[in-house]
Amino acid sequence: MSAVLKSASWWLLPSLLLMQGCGESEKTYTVRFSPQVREQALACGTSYTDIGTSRGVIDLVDFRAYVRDVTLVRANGERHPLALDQDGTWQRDNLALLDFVDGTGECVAGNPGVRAEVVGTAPEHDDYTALEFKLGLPPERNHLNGPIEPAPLNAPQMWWSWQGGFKFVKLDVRSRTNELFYFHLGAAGCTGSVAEGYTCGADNQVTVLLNGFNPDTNQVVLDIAGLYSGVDVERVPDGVTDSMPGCMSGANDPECPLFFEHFGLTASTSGGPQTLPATFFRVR
Amino acid sequence: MFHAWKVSAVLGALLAVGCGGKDPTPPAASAYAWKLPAGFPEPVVPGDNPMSEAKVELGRHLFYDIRLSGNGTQSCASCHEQQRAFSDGRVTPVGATGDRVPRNAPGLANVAYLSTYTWANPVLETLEKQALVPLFNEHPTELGLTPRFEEVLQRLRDDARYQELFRAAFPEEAEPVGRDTLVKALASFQRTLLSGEAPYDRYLRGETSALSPAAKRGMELFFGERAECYHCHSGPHLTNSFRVRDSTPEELQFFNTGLYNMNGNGTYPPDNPGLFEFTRKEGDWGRFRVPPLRNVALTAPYMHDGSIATLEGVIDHYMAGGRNVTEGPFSGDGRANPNKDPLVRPFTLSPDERADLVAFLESLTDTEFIQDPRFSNPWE
Repeated sequence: MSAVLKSASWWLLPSLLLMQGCGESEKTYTVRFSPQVREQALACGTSYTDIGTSRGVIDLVDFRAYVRDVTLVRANGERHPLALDQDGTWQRDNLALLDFVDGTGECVAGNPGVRAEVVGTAPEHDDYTALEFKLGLPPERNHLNGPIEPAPLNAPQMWWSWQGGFKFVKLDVRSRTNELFYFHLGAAGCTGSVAEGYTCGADNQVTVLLNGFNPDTNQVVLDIAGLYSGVDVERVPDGVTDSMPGCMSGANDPECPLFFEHFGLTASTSGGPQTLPATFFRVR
Repeated sequence: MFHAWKVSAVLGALLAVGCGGKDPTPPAASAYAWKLPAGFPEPVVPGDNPMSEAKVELGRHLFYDIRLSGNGTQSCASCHEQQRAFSDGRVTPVGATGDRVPRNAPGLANVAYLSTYTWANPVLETLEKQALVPLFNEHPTELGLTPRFEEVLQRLRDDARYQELFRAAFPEEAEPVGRDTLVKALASFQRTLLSGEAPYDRYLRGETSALSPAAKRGMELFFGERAECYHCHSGPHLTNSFRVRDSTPEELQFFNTGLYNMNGNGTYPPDNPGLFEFTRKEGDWGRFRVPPLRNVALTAPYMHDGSIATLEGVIDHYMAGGRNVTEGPFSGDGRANPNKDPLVRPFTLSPDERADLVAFLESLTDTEFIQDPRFSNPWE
């Protein structure tokens, strides 16, 4: 409910500004995301060492994510959601797709188009000191995956037909022992129908708040070395206690809690917002 | 159940009018000539995908076309062969890129009437949604369209036969070749896969000689209180997963039949958790949808993981009240699975009775269905 109200409130924002006339001027802000392995840029076609508990070697295969409600926060706490550019490709309404794979190297599912930023307007202020955003789609929008939806919801890599929704974050890498080592974050354990609505065992809603963020000078680091810090990317599942290398948000997957802690989530419950460790998300 | 859908027909029609999609006047039930087997009610069809001959014909071409896989090596028919009542004879299938698929490929006879699709997924409520899974899933990859989707669409657009078929099936679409039209056509074709000419059907229509004496004795066992098969394998297609046009939604039912009991706590092998994957309730470990039994003699091997090779083996499993897995990584006494349905409990059949029960199951084989040219490969 609050999410609905919130999105409604920022729809009103442009008209309120028009009514105010020349109160404050709007500026285009670009919130940049930087996929990294520690201090090194993460890209297709490069191997990265010293990953996870086995200090394994990985190659990137696929990395995409949906973010929404990207909000700049002033020093006085005033919040200004970005009114996203409606570019017909990466951004629609309050939702944006990030795509970090360019189709080279092992990134076979990628295409040349990459997108590592969210662009939108907000009132111009020189004291934005924090950034807040949410991951993925809200529950009321996640399960409409019947007829095809317009970009950026038309990326087949992000369709999660099996769970009746979308993946929020998809990060697949290759290790020396696992052709694919998965991490898919999304609402899981879902039952229901389009007609009657859905309930999910884990909505897996994540709100990220980053302090010390100036949109003109800072970037959001997504450090996969941090994300993998507790898992063994070379562990081959035994098929008895674990059927899958990595985690697809399953309730009985032993690797999921090790991923979820970096999002403030627990694997078995619908975890609410928690303080996030600066392992995967941090400011640069 | 039949009463329910008749009573609710008027209400359903009113709701359909009230839903107000693009088309304010939904097509009448008679717009499409179903050619239903005698006694079959009209299947449920989503409001946004009314049946048409043109869609069925397009769907049939797509179903049999290996170009509808990323690497051009498999089609739907690779795992759903007509001569096996649209199953594949394997324990579990292998996808186009070599991925092992964890569950047995089910037959497709009369799928139009099922309440949900696949072995235990409660959210795949239409054949359209189900089709997205083999087409686009990446883990495991089945047909593998996701990484090469635009390329696949272009293959179809470049084919003169498809240009005609798509235009005929979706005349209102400016660009008729796309994800939605693919799944709508595939679903429409599958809804025509109706099997109602087995000896059992002829028997039900009054042809008492259609069943052999052994099959008749087996039928008595099937519907009797010793074997109790019919409690779950009920209704016209011998599954309680059943709905027809305008029927009111029934509560979905999934059952644990005591195949596994790892560590004695009820769990199943981790790639086949059953309904638990979706509800996350411990009591839902190992619960699966009841498979329909039409043409069951053609769809071996059996169970969600293909772990029982023959019908005799399935009957033995139920006679034992479950399966005691004595060795290997999945060992545990399934007979003691805490989630097991109470009707799965030991009973005794003599060897002759067991053979009679098999004879009844074989009487569900519809040889016309597996030879019907309407369901065959149009590219041959």
